[in-house]
Amino acid sequence: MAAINTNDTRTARVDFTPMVDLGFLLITFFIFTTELSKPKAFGLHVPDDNDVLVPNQTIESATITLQMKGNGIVDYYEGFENHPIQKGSLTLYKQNSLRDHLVDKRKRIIEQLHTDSNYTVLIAPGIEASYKEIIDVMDEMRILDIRKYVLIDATAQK
Amino acid sequence: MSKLNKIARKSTWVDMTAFVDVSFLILTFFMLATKFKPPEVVNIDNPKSVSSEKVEDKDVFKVSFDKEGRVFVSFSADKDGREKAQLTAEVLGRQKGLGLTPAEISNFIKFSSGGIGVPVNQLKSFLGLSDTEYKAFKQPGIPVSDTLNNQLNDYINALLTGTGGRKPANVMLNGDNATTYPYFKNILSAFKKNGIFSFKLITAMEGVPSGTPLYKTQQTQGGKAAE
Repeated sequence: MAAINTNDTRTARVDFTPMVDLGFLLITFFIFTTELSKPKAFGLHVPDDNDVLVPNQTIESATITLQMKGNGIVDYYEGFENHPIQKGSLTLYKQNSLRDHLVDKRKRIIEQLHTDSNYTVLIAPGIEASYKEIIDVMDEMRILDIRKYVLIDATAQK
Repeated sequence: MSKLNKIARKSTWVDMTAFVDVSFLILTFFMLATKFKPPEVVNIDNPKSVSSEKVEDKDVFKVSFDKEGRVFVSFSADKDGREKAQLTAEVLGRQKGLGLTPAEISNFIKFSSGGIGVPVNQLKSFLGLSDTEYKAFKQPGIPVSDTLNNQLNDYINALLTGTGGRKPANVMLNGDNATTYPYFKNILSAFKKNGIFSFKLITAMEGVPSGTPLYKTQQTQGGKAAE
């Protein structure tokens, strides 16, 4: 009895260091295998090429065509290509002048037509354009709340 | 001097209990929050978008394309996905006269959750691979560049013929940042030819830049939701 009593009064200290090691080892394992940011879906609807019933005409003054040249360079023309209202070159990444221009275009459309409901953007990726740029331009449409945008294929004509 | 020596000789025992508590707390968090990355044979770096729509994982038909332009098809591993993979393999085998055995068809179903990217004429020998051989095998990708021989069209056509025109609930495109437009265009045209016009593009999440119209709508919607 006496021997047990003396044992009880002694502090029972356990060395936890290996347990900490093990804990952090497992944490590291889970950090490497985990996938915290889940991918998101970006909806895309493309028109049927054979569908001729849907009228696909746009208003000249409210239409802008973006020609994607690759490396973040986007050329644009407003209205028709052969006699554009305005044309020039924009950049997608440095300074993002594309966004500024599209905002400005909306302002001009509202001034002229008093509504932006016909604001249409035609996106024409060139053969050099990367998938990332295409997504980024379409993303820009969402960011700027442009309802009408179409992915058109201009590579076959040139 | 003697006093200093006494202090130095004291044991340097640190109480690790709190440390253990913290480490196991973090461990528990990661164990609960974790979702294991699905095994992929192809390494794809997705572009970012502001979209916040969730990616569904049921009844998925996914076309992946990597930066070299290799194209892969995959089906989800759930009941619907497996059924569609089986129908695709059966119909494709019949249409192209590949003479696939039941074992090869079950291999198609198994491999299809990770990705299948071989031309139709190599499919039979590809489906003869074992699991480990499959992981090591560098698949050439489904040829799409030639408009007359866009074989992705064959795969999609076999899928829709097999299901009797029933489209998968989630048609996804999983593309790499660096893929150039022609590949994307050819994939879209293969889908269009088969009457599929709606897709979900897989993207990583990105914050909405402040001051833009979308940012303002989200702010007002967020305010309404809070009320």
